[in-house]
Formats: sequence, structure tokens, C-alpha cells
Amino acid sequence: MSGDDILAILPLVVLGAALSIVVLGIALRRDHRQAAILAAVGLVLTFASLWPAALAAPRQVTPLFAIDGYALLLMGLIIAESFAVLLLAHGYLQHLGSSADEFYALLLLTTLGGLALIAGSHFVSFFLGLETLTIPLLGLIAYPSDPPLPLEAAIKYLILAAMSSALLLFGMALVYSRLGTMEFARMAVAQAGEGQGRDLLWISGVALIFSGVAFKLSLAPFHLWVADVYEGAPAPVTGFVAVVSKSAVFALLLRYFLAAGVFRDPTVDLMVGVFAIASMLAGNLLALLQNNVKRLLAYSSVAHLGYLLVAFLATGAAAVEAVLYYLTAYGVTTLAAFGVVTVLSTGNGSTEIVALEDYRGLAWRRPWLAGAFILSLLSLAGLPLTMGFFAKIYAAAAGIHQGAWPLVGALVVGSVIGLFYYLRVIVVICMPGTAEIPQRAEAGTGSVLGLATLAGLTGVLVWLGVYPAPAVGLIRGAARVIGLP
Amino acid sequence: MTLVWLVLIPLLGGCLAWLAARRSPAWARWISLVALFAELALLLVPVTGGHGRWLAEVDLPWAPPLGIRFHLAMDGLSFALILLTAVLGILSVLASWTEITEKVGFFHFNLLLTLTGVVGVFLALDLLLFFFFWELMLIPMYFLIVVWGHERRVYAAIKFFLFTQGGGLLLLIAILTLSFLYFRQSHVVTFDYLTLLKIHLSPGTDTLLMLGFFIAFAVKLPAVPFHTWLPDAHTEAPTAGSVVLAGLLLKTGAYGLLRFVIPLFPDASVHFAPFAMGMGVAGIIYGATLAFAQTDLKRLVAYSSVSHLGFVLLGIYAWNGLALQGVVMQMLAHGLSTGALFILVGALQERLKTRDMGKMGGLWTSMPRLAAIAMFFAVASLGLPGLGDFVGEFLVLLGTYRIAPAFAAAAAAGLVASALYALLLIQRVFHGPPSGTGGAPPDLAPRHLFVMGIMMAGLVWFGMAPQPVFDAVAPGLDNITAFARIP
Amino acid sequence: MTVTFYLAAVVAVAATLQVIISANAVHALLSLIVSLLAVAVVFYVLGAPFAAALEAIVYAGAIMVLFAFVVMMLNLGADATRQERGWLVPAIWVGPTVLSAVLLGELVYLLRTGSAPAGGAVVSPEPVGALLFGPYVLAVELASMLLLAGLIAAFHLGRSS
Repeated sequence: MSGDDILAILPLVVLGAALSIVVLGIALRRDHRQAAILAAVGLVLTFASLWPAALAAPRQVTPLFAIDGYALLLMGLIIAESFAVLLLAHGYLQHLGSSADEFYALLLLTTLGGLALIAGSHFVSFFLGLETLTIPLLGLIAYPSDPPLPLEAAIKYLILAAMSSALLLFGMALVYSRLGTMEFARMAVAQAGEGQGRDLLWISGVALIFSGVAFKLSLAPFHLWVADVYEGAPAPVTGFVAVVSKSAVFALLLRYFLAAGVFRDPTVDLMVGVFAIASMLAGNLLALLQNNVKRLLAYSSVAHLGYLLVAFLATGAAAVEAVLYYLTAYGVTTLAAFGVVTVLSTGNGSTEIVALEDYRGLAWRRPWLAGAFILSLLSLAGLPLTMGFFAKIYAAAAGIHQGAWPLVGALVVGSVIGLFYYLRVIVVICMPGTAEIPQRAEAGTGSVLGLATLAGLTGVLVWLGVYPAPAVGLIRGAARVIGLP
Repeated sequence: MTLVWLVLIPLLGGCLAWLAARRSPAWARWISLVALFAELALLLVPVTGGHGRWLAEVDLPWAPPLGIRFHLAMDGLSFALILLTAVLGILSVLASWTEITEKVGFFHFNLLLTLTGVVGVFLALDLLLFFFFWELMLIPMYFLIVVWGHERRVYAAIKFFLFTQGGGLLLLIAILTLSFLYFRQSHVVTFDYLTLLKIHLSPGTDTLLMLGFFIAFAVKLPAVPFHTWLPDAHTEAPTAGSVVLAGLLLKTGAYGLLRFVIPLFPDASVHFAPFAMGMGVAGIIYGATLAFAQTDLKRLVAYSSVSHLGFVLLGIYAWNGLALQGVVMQMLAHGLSTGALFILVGALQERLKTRDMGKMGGLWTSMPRLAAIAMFFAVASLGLPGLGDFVGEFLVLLGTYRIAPAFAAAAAAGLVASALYALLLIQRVFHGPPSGTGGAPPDLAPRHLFVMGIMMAGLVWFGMAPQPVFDAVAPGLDNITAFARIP
Repeated sequence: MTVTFYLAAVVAVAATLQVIISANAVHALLSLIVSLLAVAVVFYVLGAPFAAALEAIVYAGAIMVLFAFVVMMLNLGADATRQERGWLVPAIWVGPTVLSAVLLGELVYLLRTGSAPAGGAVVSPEPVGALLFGPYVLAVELASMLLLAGLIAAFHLGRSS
């Protein structure tokens, strides 16, 4: 590996070093505050190292990693999102005392897995990145292990993660047996000719890989775990599962499809389209039935991943741009929503404020918090003044550009159903009733860091919702320099 | 920049009112009032900076990579409707002066944010910007209904939102498709109205896209059969909400038809005109008949709106200049007369704690001023010559008669039904034996009288000397007729 | 040589099924060892003797022995001894033994005939090492992080529960 190679993967190196320092720090002294500060500094330095890495980009570092504008932008996104999760979690974990420190080591590890996935251009980095993302996440989900719910969630996640890994590996084996290579770029070469290398074996392999990834992305019909895991995991970790892990996996999926030339195959398009429609409809319909805010957001995320697939199917630079914008908007919005749940549950011991009833009249008790929650719900519904508005436009435009009318139709129907349950939550928040508020709903005060993070997320949500030009410009730049064959 | 301020003043006023309400609710009311008067004053200073048909225009980049621009422009039509917006805004603030006592700051924030959206809709010339404002006005309206509404407010608010948002998504799809088709022709990504007017569409696509736009606007208008959200939303909304809904939000549907559907898809619209006129006539007769059958006073007024807006739809698709003049007049007059009726019903409800006409009666003796004013607006609403509504309805009928005498005849029959419900309202509420609800309720306060005076003056002006209005909107209507080749 | 591959593969699947359906942890472990040995034979048949050796030494050997120790240490005492005596009936050990015997027979046959691998060329340890420390060095690093993650997660969960 040359110096330029090291420079290009500097974010991975810096994060790995920061991680070692956090682990060593914990070994020397068990202290929540110290671990949090070390991890936060590590994430900031990793973010800063994106600029030196950009000097070397675009560059293929060993067959495993492609460092290009696409990878760097998404890395920046998930590092920032991990940072937000870290800040939110700090207050939330206070009641665990000094045993809260391993949380940060696990958080950095899973972020490292995400970075590896985003840059991955090879089945090996695909699989290892995915596992490095998943294994620490298990620890994070079950972190406050005294109540049974997180442990149950972790077990469910573990079993489904193993299942999805098995599908993924089998799919990779089939594709490898057909094309004789595990590098994305060489796969594209191997089937450069019309219909070359696209037989039943190859399609089965791609379908298995997609199904394995669909587990991770909680696309219907592989969404069964999502509500239980979201409900059981501690609120900041739920935000992480919903945002960072899905963004990283989706980023890799898009790179694989683009770089290995999986698109432009009618069978694959049909398969992805069916997943998209099923997710949009199933997610929205199931969310209608929920009375738990985390479960509701879980099913809403199923629907959002469906919308994201519509953008995904646009193919080429248009897909990259639409997916990147959608991921950004979805990430900021979802983190803000789980941020509100976190802040409300902070200082509440291990009980979380998640029942819809607990939110009754929130708008009059905690107006700013309720405002942030309402804005994030409006953004999820795709209404103006929020990032979600432009995200929805991107998704719909992508569907129209392909002329995929069934997808666009499902998008419209799904959005209208979605609106119904978002409004239901908003109605509850705005109910004037103040008499019969459950006592526990009053307890959560939030930490200063958590509130500041929430304010920052909401600010971004509105700023980019009113004036999206900076984000769009940045994303367009990244979409142009993705190292496509 | 005047136009940017037109959009910003209600927005800033709303934020200020919200913040100031912490000191005292009165601050919120006064700030809203001052902001709306400033809006009115800004409208009346001579506007400059436009070219050609536009009185004023501003075109700034907003999201350049996406081809979305912050393009606002005002012509006579927008001017008249924004004037109506400012006036009705002032009146609704005054009407809710004593009615709203809870969360006053947030109420005024929502009211002014709705008005921001409405003003934006009347000004936007970029289709996505238009859609932005179109959606923007829904959210605060939803809050107005859900927080300050009456008994079944949650049901009504969600129904209102789902209907309009469903239409809105069709609109979004149609806008994106239109822009995409233009991109295929010219390789320019744009949502600019004036540019997209030059698009060439094949007949089939033309009709589909037109339907996307039409349904969104018809839901808002509302045209039968998309009207079912309206009686609920109007009935459950607080007075100011009903005034803004009936007076302004419904007009955005009509404005959308005039500004976008007709000029963008003239050929498809011509073919579609008989169906649209049929829907208009159906609305006129259906709305009047249902109004006649109501016992809830607010529902009665709400159904009368369906009937009046039927004339607007009929006039738009009658496809001639005369009917279009009638449409504009009908929109302005309906805004005033229905707004006034909602304010009166609100005043009655504040006093009697009921909207049920069965529990009213003989109020003329205890509230002579309110009763006389109600009489005035009821006859205005049934189309008494000399008042604004008559001019509008008459011109629409005249214009329709040239094209489709059968539709005109049927619509005229609807007028008879409207006379029935208007007179029935007066008779049941104000005549007959008093229904003994205890002590005599107080009559209208001077504040209300002032409000009513303005509206009555407006209606009389529209009815007696409508020519200045026609002169003002004529260039705006020319914008539309020129593109749509309307005789 | 395809027959030997399929035979070993069937053994692996059968043993793994046994792992899943066993009600007793020790019996499951027994079958798991057989399953891992079968996978080692599969590797060998495919021409990867190095991977086969690692599979047998590391998984079936070291890790499984650790597992067995831990599981057995959990149920101590006279009751457990009496109970365990009841488990050592032929019905329990015959199945894994037969499967292991099949594997052994296969291995002896393969060693005696010295036949060519089913998957083409034999991969010796040297190119594997060269690849791991050449183009795939970052994969090794990433795998070390993965192990660290497993370690920390297991430590945290094990301590608190």
C-alpha cells in the first residue's frame, strides 16, 4: 500500500485508532465521561480526516475499497449521524453509571463497519463491513440489559442477522460461481455483453443478496423484526439502527448495483419494484395500527425504505443524487424523532416514554420539544418547510423519470395512508387535555447535550427544507464523481 | 421585492405574535392586526417592477440544481385575490378577538401562516413553488381546526387534510411529469410556468396531466363529488378558520384552475369542459338542496358554499370572457358574503352556545342589529340584484347561456333553491316565537358592527359599480384568455 | 470425486439439523462437532487442505472443547451426575458416531487414493497467506475489529446478566 492509499483510507485509519484509544482508556479507568469525550473527539477527527482523504480521491485502495466522492459524502453523513447519536445517548445513559463506557467503544466499532461498507467495492468488504456493523449493534441494542425488552430485541436481531448473512453468503457464492470474481468492477466487465452472464444462477444469486440486504433494510416482506427491535432497543440506539445502519447498507447496495452492472435487467428491476411496492403499502398499513411511538416509527421506516427504492431504481447518476438526498433527509428527520423520544426518556431510569398516551398534550407542556417532534413528523410525511418535502419530490421525480407508474401510484397511496397516522400522533400531541397526564410522562427532563443536539437536528431539518440548494449542490458534486465504470 | 414582502409580512407577523403572546394575548391580536394592515398598505402602494402583463415580478434562484426558482408575479387577478386575503384576514382577527381565549399566540401564528400560504399560492409562478405554498397552507389550517375547533374537530381535520393532501399528491405527480416531458423536449430542467406554457403535449398525455391538476383543484374548490370534506371542516373549524377556509382556501382551487389548468392544457380543457360544467351545475343544485335540509346553521352556510362555488366551476369552463368576469366577481363576493355569514354564526354560537336552528327563534327582538345584518347577507347570498353575488352569478349564467343553454337553465334552477334556504334561515332563526333560552343575549358589539359594515359596503360596491373591479382584473384575465385562446 | 463432496455435505446438513433439534445443550454440541468436521472434509475435497486443517483444529478442536467445558461446568453436583448417566444411552451417541464414521471412512479413502480435488487445483497455505497479507490486508484488519466488537459485546452482556 502506498502513501496515497493510506491517505485515501485515512477516515478508516483514524476511526480505528480512536477506537483503540477508547478501549485502552476504558481499560485504564472506567469512567463514562472520559469514554464519551474520547469517542466524540475521535468522531470529530474522523470527520476532519475526510478532507485529506478527498485529496487522494477518487482512488481504488486494494480491491476492497473505492474511495470516491460518493463514499466520502456518505461517510461524512454517517459520522455526523453517529456523533448525534453519541450526544443523545450521553444523557440517556447517565443512570448506568460507569458501566456506560463500553457503549462508546461499540458505537465507534459499528460506525467503522458502516464506513467500510460505504467504501466497499468487493464482496469481502461487503460481508466483513456488514458483520462489523451488526455485531457491535447487538451489544448496543441489549446495552441496558436489566430490563428484558432490550435483550429480547437483541436476540431477535441476532437471529435475523445470522439469517440474512447466510442468504447473503449463498447469493455471493452463486454470483461468484457464475462470474468468477468478487470485485464489483470486474463483474461489470464479465457481463459487458448483452445478456452475457445473466442466467438463472446469476439472478438467483442477486436475488439472494438482495434478500439478505432486505433483512437489514427491513424491506417488506422481511420487515417482521423491525417493530420488536425498535421497541426493545434504547431510544438513541433505535435511532442508530434506523438511520446509520440502514444508510450504510443502502449505500453499499447502490454501489453494488451500479458498479457491478446489476441494473438494466428486467427481472432484477421487477424484483426491486415488488419489494418497493410491498414495503410502501405494508409499512404504512401496519403503522396505522400502532399505539407505541417507536413501533409506529419502525413501520414508517419500512415505508420510507420503500420510497427510497423508488429513487434507487432511477439508475445512474440520477439515482445516486436522489438516494443521497433521501438518505440525508431521512437520517436527519428520523434522528430528530428518536431524539425527542430520547430526551423525554432521559432521566427516567430504564422506562421509556413511548406510549402514544404519554404524548397527550405535549404541545402545551413542552412546546419546543413538541415542535421538534411535529416538524419531524411533518418531514416524514413530506410536507413543506422540512427536508422531507424535497425528499418526496426526489422520489416521485425518480419514479416518473423511469415511467414506473405502479411505483408512483404506490408512492401516492402510501403517502396518503402515512399522513393519516402522522396526523394521529400530531392530534394527540396537540390535545388540550392536561388533567390526566400519566405521571411518568413528566419525569424526563433531558440532558443539555441531548436538547442541543435535538435543536441542531431540527434546525437543519427546517433550514434545508426551506433552502435546499447547499445540500443539493454538495450531493450533485458527489454523484458526479462516483467511480462508475 | 414588494412581492417577497407580501409573503414575508404575514409570516413574520405570525412568528412575532406567537412570541409576544407570552406577555399578553392582546399583544398577539394587535400584532396580527398591524401585520395584516401593513400587508394591505403594501398592496395599495403603486406596484412597479413588472413588465408586460405583470404588475410586479420577482425571480430569484431557490434550488438551482433542481430547476426550482423563487418566481413570484402579480397580475390583476392575483391582486384582487390578495386584497381579499388581506381584508378577510383582518376581519377574521377581529372576529376571533373574544372567541379565542386559549393559546392565543399559537392561534394567530397559524392564522397568519395560512394567509402566507394563500398569498404565496396567488403569487407563485414556479410550479414547485406553487406546490410548496399549496401544501404550506394546509398544515396551519389543520391546527386551527384541531386545536380550536368544535365537537368533532379531529375527524373533520383529518378528513380535510387527507382529501386535500391526496389531491395535492396527484398535483405533484402531474407537475413532475409535466416538467419531465418538457425536459425531454428541450433538455432544460425547469418548473417555470411561463416556460412550461410552451410545451407540446400529445392529446392523451394532455388529458391525463390535466386531470391530475383538475382533481387537486376540484377537491379544494370543492366540486361535487369531491366536496365531502367541506361541510365537516367548515362546521368544526373556529369562526376565523371557517372564514379563511370559505373565503380564501376555496378560492385557491378556482385560482389554480384559472391560472394553471386552462392555460397549460387548453385543448384538453375544451374537451373536458362539458363534464366540468356538469359538475358545476351538479354542485349548484346539490349544494343548495342540502343546505335547505340542514338544521346546523354552520353546515347550512357550508353547503351554500358548495352551491356558490359550483357557479365558479361552471363559469370557468363556459370558456368565454364574460363568464370569467363573472367568476372573479363571484369569488370576491362569495368571500365577503360567506365570510360574513360565518362570522355571524360564530357570534350567535358565542351567545347561544348552540348552532342548532331548532333551538333558535325570535331572535329579531333581542338582537335586532345582528338579525338585520344577517338578513342583508342572506339575501346577498341568494343573489339579490344590487349586491355583488348577483353580478357574479348573472354574468356566469349569461356567459354559459351562449354556450350551453341547458346548463344555464339548470343552474338558474339552483338559484331558486338558494332563495329557499336563505329565507328559511332567516325565518327559523330570527322570526317566530322566542325559544326561551333564558335572558336576552347581548347584541353585536361595535367591533363586530365595524367588521360587518366593511363587508356590506364591499358587497354594495361590487353590486352597484363593478366596473372598477373588472378594469383591475382585465389584464390578468387577458393573461389567461390569451394562452387558452378564449374568445 | 463429486460423490465424496456430496456425502460430506449431506453429513454436515444432517448433523446441523441434529444441533437445532436437540433439547440438550451437550448433545447439540456433540452434533455441532460432527458438523464442523464434515465441513472440514468438504474443504479438503474442494482442494483446500489448509482451510480443512484450520476448521478441524480451531473450530472442532479448540472452540468446541471450550464450549463443552463451559456447558458442562454449568450443571454440577450429584443430581447432575445421575441425570447425565441417563443421557449416555446408545440412542444419543449412535447417530453422531455413525456420521463421524462415515467421515472417517471418506477421509481414509481420500488419503489412500490421493485423488484430485473436486474443485480444480489444490490451494496450499502459501498463496492464502500471500493474499491475506497482500491485497486483502485490510480485510484482515477489519476482521480483527470484528473480533474486538464480539469481545466487547460479549463482555458487556456477560457481566451485566
